[in-house]
Amino acid sequence: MNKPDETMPRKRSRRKTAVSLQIMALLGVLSLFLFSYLPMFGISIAFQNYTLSGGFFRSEWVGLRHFREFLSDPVFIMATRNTLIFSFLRLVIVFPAPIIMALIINEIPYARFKGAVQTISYFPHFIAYVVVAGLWLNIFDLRGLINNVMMNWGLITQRIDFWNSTLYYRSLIMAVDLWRGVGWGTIIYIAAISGVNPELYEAANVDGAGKLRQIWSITIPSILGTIIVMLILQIGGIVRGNLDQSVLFGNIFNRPVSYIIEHYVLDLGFGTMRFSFATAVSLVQGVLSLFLVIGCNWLSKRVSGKSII
Amino acid sequence: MKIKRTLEERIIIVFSVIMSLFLALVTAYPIYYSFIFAFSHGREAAASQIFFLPVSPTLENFRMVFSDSIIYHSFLMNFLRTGVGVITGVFFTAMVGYALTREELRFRRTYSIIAIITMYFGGGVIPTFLVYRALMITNTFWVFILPGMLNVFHMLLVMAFFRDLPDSLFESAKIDGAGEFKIFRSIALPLSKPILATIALFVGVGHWNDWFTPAFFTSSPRLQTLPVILMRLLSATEAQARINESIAHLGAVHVTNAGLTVESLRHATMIISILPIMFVYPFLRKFFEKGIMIGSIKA
Repeated sequence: MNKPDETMPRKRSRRKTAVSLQIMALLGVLSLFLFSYLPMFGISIAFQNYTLSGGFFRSEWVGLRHFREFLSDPVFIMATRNTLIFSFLRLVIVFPAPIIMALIINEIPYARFKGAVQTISYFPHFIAYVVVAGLWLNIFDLRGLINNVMMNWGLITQRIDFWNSTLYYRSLIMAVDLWRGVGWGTIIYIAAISGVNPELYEAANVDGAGKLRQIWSITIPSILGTIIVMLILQIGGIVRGNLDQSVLFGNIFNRPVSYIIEHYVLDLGFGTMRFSFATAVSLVQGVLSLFLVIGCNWLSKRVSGKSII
Repeated sequence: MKIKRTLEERIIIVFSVIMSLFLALVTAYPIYYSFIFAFSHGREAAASQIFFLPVSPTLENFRMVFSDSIIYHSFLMNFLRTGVGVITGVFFTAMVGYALTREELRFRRTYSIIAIITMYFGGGVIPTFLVYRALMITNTFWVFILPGMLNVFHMLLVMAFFRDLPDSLFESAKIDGAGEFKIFRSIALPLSKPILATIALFVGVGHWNDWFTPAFFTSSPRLQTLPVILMRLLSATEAQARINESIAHLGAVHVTNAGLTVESLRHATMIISILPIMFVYPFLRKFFEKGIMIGSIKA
C-alpha cells in the first residue's frame, strides 16, 4: 500500500529534473548552433554573390562562377603553391623534430636537469603569437642581434635584411616553428616512451644489444602507434598553413613566398569585401586538406598497417 | 649498486645532455634578450649591443608604456576579457558537460554527437564573420566571450571527470529535494576543482593571447586588446606614433633622457604580455601533462 505514495513524488521530481537538465543541455546546443553550425551552413554563400545589403536571403545565386574564376587567378595559384611548400616542409622538418628530441631527452639520466629542460622548452607554446613574431622580427632585424653578431665576428661585410627578402623566409619560418613547437611536441612522445615495457630493454640487455640498437629496435617501434596518431591529428593543421605566421611575418617584400591561401581569403573578405569569392577559395582549401588527410591516412595504412579513420 | 656504463652509453648521455642544453638555451635566449632590452636604456642598448645584461638598468620603458593611454587601456581590456571569459567559459562548459553526463537527460547521445562534429568541421573565417555580424556581436565586447563559451574539447575533459564522481552523492542530494542546477552548483562544481582549474588556465591563456578576434571582428578603439596593439607596434610608423604620444604627454626632454626607442617600447610591451603567462606557468606546468594525457586517452 505504501508503494504508490513513494513513487508518485519521485516521478514528479524526475520530470522536473529532466526539464532543468534539458535546459542546461539545450543552452549548450543553442550556442553550438549559433556559433558553429550557422557558419557551417554559411559556406553556401560560396555559390552566391553575397552582398552585405542583400544578406543571405536576398543575394543572387551564381552557381560555380567563383570557382571557375579563381582557377585562372595568379594570386590563388601563388598562394596555393606557398601553402603546399610549407605543408611539405612542416611534414619533413617540423613534425619529426619532437620525436627525435623526445628520444634525446629521454636518455638524460639526471632527473632534475631533464625536468628543467622540459619546463623551459614547453614555455614558448604559451606565448602569444604576436609576441613570438615580435621577438623573431627583432632578432633578425637589419639592426638586430644576429646581424650585429655576424658583423662583429666578421662573418658578413654587409648587413642582411632577413625578413624583407624572399631568400631567407622559409628557413626562418622553419626556425620559428621549431622554436615554438619542438618542446611542446615532445610531451606526448616522452609519455609514450615512458610507457614502454621495461622488460623489453632488460631482455635486449641480456642479448647484448647496445643502447642505440635498443632505441632503434624497441623504443621507435613501440611509439610508432603514437607517431601515426599524432600525424593524422596534426595533418589537417599542417596542410591548412599558419595564418598567424603569414599575417605577422609576411610583408610586401617576402609576399611571393609568405602568402598562403588563408591569408588570401582574409584579404579578399576583409580587404575587398568579396565575401562569396573568399568563401569559395576557403571551401576549395578545405576540400584539398580533406583529400590530403585521407591520402595520408591511406599511406600510413599501407606503410604501417595503422590508420585512425 | 653502481652500474657500469659502456662507452656507447656514455657517449649517448653526453650527446643528449649537450643537445638538451642547446635546446634550452636557444629556447630561453630570445625571451631573455627581450627582457634585458626592456629593462635597458633604449638608445644605449642599441648603441652598445647588449647580450647578457641590461645597460643602464631602468624601469622607464615600462613607465612610458603605462603612461600611453592606448597601450594602458588595451592592457586593462585584455584583463577584463580574460577574467570574464574564464569565469563564463568554465562555468558554461562545466554546466553543459554536467547535463550531458546525467543519465536522466533525454537525447544525450544526439547532443554529444552534435558537439563532437564541431571539433572537426567549421565554417571558416568569412562565414563566421558574417554570422557574428548578423547576430550583432561584432564590434561589441561579447564577440570575445560568447562564441568561445562552450569549448567542446574542454567539455569532454570535464565529462570524463564527472563520470568518475560517485552516483550516491547525486542520489542523496536529490532525495533531499535539490534541483539539478543546485546539485551541479553545490556538489559537482566544488568536487571538480582540479579539472576546472586546469581548464581555467588554458582558457585564460587563450583569451590573453588572442589577437585574431579583436583584429578582425572589432574595429572600435575601445575594444582593442594588448596583442592587437602589439601587432600594430610591430610596424615602425605606429611605434613612432606611440613615442610621439609619450613626448606630448611627458615632455620631449623626459622621453629623450629616458632613451625610449621603437625597439625598447616594443620589448617592454612584449614583456608585459609575457609576464602574466610566466606567473601562471608553474601551475600550468603542473596540470598540463596530466590534462594532455587524459585528452589523448579519450581521443
